[in-house]
Amino acid sequence: MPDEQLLSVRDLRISYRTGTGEADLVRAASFDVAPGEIVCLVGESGSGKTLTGRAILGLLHHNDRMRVSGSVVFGGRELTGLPDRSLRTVRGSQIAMIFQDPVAALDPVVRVGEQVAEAMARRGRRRGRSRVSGEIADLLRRVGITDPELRMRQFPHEISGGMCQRIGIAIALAGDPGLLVADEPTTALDVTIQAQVLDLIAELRRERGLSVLLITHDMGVAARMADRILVMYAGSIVEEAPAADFFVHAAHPYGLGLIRAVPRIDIDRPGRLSAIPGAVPEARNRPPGCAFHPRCPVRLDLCAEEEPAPLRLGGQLVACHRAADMLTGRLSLWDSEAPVG
Amino acid sequence: MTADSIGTRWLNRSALRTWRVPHGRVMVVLAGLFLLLVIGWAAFPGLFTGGNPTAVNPLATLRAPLQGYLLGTDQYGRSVYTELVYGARPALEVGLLSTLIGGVIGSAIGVVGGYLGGWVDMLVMRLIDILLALPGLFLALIFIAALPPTLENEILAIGISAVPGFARVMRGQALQVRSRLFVAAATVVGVRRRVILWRHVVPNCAAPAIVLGTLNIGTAIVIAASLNFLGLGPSAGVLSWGGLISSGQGYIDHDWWISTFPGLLVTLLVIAVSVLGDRLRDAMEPSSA
Repeated sequence: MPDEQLLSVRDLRISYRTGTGEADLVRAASFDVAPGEIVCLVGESGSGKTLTGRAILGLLHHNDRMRVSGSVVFGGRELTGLPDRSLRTVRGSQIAMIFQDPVAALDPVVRVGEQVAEAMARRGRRRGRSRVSGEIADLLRRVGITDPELRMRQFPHEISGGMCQRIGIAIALAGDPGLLVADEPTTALDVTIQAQVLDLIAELRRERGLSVLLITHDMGVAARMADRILVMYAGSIVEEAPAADFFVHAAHPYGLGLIRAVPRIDIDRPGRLSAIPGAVPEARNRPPGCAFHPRCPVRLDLCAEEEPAPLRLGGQLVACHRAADMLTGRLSLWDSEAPVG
Repeated sequence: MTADSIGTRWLNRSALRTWRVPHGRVMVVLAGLFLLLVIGWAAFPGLFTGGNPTAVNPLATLRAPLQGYLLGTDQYGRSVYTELVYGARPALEVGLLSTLIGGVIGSAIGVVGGYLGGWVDMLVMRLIDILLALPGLFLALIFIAALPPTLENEILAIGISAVPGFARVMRGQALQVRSRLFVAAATVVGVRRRVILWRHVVPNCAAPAIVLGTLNIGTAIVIAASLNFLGLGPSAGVLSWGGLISSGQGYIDHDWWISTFPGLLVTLLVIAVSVLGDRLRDAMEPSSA
């Protein structure tokens, strides 16, 4: 079915050359995004989510120490290894990106309207100045900015963070892309603005059939937005599942751990909020076998020795030796432990 | 608590603290006024002195200051003050124009190299490193020795000597700006690298370039005076403070004013420029203040 996919990433590997050798930051990540689909890439900080998003747009190959291999196919076209000149025809008009820090993503010394105009101008159409400014105003209005004529003339420091993110979305939409890579777009915003920005993204998907690769560590955001979930841990995608399945029965202990770590008010859950003990291992100190095993409550001896291969179970694709047990519900995890006093 | 520490605290609170802030401002105001005066000399020398700087008076040679002549006269009976006033224009011309030349060329090399990176950057910056190993004065000396002695060539030589300094600082600045998120953000919507360089990288590098340029004006004036003192630089018809210092050198033990006043003037001007440059840095680069 790969023909139906808008974006197909296969065996994406990102490694970083250090003084002592190479460290794999992303290992053989493979996933697809279908037209009009919102796919959430979730995981803790340091698991390689952002790098994956940036690699899709070819943002890493200027870094001499970074090596990217594998295949990124967008709309039937292979993007990896393309020179900047060719990537430019993809960036903006086919794939666009918004960022975690919306203020830093805007140039502080250029007026907001000009930055939007720049993203529009690249389409190479020659238009009158007033028509361009009318188009910018329309676009800004489209992303929910009131009084766009005023905002256009302002500098980024004169407007709020939430509005900066809306501008960022406007810039991303200027080229009418098919895929939006949204790298933690709401992390830097406060909760009410978060909801507005997420609603805007969902709305754009509905209206334009925009596909979204939403990178987030916030399971609440993922639950709200996602059609499909990709769970990333230490540079590998350990679980891929339709959102409906994932939040009901995550098949990877890490995925389940992420869900359990979110406070809920709608279900009664006794004891302390569970956290996954420990932290994501550094790329250079990746544990042997399953990278998650030192933190895993249901590990077997096997887990330390052999890296589990991705296994398809129903709609879910899981890289875990205990995935079958997880799904049959024979394993209980952190919440079975006695509340720590 | 001892009386001593109370005393110190009292001093800290009232005297020193209230002194420190206006102290800085007083310096900035004084520096600004002094600079305005010198600019006035350069623009309208006739307004500040009645005399002709080249008019010799055989009856009034080597007069001490305040004996009919404000700052005395030299061995030919020319007024030192008048010579200083008329020397301001070439001095400021050299300071400003050479800084402009060096700043534009050096910044262009540094910003383009830093933004594009790669082997061009490597090659250019190694050359710049070699030039940086030589002091600015020496570099200017090499160029001026090879060129005909005119004011234009002096400006050019001093300008070239400022190139490596600008290139190094601006390359660092461009490297820093290049890694900022808005550059990535412009890249991912397909903005051309050339456009990113002009619209985003260059304007964000401007503040340090302006500060560096201001400070460099003082340096350029000192280098010019040094070259003129050594007898290099424009040969005839151009009054120079450095030349004046040099011409008074033989009389320094008795007739000290001929060398001392131009030396003092250059010193004060450099201090004034650097005080203003520092203030400008505080205003434009809050992060490094």
